Amino acid sequence: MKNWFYLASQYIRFYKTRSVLLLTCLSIITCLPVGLRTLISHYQNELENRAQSTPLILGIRGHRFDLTMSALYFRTSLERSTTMEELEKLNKTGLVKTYPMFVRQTSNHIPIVGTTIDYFDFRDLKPSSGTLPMLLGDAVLGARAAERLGLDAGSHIISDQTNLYNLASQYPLKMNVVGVLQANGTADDDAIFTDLKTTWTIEGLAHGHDDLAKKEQQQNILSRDENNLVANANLTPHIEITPENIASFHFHGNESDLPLTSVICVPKNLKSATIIKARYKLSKTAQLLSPESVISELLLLVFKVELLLHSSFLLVGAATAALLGLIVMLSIRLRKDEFNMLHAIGCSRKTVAGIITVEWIVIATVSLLVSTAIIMLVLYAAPNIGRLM
Amino acid sequence: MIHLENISFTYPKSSFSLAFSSLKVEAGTHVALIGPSGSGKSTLLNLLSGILLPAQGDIYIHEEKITGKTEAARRAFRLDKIGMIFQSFALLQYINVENNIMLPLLLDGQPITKALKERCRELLKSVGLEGMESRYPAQLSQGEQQRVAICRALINNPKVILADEPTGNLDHKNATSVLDLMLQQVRISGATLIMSTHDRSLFSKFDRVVDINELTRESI
Ligand SMILES: Nc1ncnc2c1ncn2[C@@H]1O[C@H](COP(=O)(O)OP(=O)(O)OP(=O)(O)O)[C@@H](O)[C@H]1O
Ligand SMILES: [Mg+2]
Repeated sequence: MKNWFYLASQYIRFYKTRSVLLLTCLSIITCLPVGLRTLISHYQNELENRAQSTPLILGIRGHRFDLTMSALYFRTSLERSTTMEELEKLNKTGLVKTYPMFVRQTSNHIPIVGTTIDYFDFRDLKPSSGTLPMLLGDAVLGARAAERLGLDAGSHIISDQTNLYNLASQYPLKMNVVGVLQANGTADDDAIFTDLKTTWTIEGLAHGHDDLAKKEQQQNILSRDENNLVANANLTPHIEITPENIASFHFHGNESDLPLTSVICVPKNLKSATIIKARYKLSKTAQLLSPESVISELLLLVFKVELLLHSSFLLVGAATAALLGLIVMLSIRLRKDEFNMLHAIGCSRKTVAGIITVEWIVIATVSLLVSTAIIMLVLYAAPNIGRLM
Repeated sequence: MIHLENISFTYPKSSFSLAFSSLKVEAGTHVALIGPSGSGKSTLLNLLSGILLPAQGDIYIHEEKITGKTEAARRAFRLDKIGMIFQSFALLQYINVENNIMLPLLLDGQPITKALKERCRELLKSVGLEGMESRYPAQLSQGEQQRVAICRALINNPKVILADEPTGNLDHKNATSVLDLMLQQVRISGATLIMSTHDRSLFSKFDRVVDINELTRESI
């Protein structure tokens, strides 16, 4: 047995290219379906958990998936928004506790979530350093966002410019990082949180009238008229909220018109849940969604695609098994002279079969180890892959 | 003494048959087995080694009745008691010279001891391949490979060595030197050698020449 293993390993070592090729093929074949399944169930769990922890969401009527992805995962692609007026109406019912959100901007491509201080309670988010955002211009970073940016409390972030070619539209806002949140393993880790007013300011809905009028920045302004500042092209101008100018920030127009991308609603009890859902069924402007049902709808779709993939894997697997059989057969035929010689000097059939079997067991085992390692690695990297998607 | 009696052998689906009444070879003699191509030299050697079994007759090798053994037992006997040398495909490409020489022991599941390594070293030295233990067959010439195969046949100190045209693939000069080395080693070990060959110039080196055609004609 020991000598079988020795001879088999000598063969594997001597024909390195053949062995490595076989190993790679076997690893990929086992990796693909198993890895995909593990990855999908990982995301499935993550999606379901997040949905279950968010009873209802209110938003403008229309795309259910966009609204859900905005409220749960802070996708900034939801163009249309509901208003503070809808929030007021919702609050007046007294049936739900509300957590309004405005999610449209990014900083370093990380979504900026404008919300109220209650949101942190709702998600059980506590700062691991610093404090929660209290003032206009304060921001707190999700754990992974902080890690990615390499920032901690006391630093600054600047919102991404949405339109690079129209300098006059709106300047990015420089925000003070006042804290970093503890990780909770959800999308909250990959976001930047501010007060609603801060996101509205970035959106250009609030102004401080001495934005760029600071003395040291005067030389950067080329021209100025009633509405616009035109800045010198060789600096990235930004608005900064300071203790001196904070009081001058104010909103134009009606406060009830201010935008909200979504409102998370937690019904007080089962009865109020039923009432509020019934009430919004008829609303022409707003929709009230259960993320759980939207997500299960989404997962059903994913499941169908997966089924398709798996049936194709099954076919590919069958073809691969046939090919593997052929490879084993051919490699034995290729070694016919060798086995004839072994028989001729008196080697037993058992020993020849043993050497071949051990050789394939070694290759199969190593491929299994390799693919297990790859799957573990994929699972370990799953949160980061998810962020890329 | 090697003794074959009333042998009759035919291949399935072939008109060839090998039949003779008696062949005796005294222990320690060196026999050249000759005859034209297709006359049955390899067949006879395969009968002696137990690879083939005659339809009739008995074969004794040093008092052991080969023909009474099962296939597995004949293999075990061959691995342990007979040194086998072939015309081609003598060595495994993927193990080094030392392991090729140890192959019968490796296949038998025996541990490779220091004494065995020492014997291997001496055998290599005696065939002029001193210090080539860790080379691979591809790094040797054909003649050198055949000399390694001779060492492999001798490692177990077998009392019988069967060689089927071991010099058939070599040029005359190489053939002579390989044969000389083989005969020298066989003489040292006192083994019986039966070797098939076409090469008339080598006949004089043997104690006895058996022409397979004459052997079968006598018995008719
Ligand atoms: N496995 C087999 N099945 C059927 N017939 C065979 C088989 N092996 C050999 N033969 C036939 O048996 C006869 C003797 O073959 P054998 O190999 O013993 O001859 P040989 O004397 O060794 O010839 P050569 O000098 O060419 O090696 C040939 O006619 C051959 O065709
Ligand atoms: Mg022959």
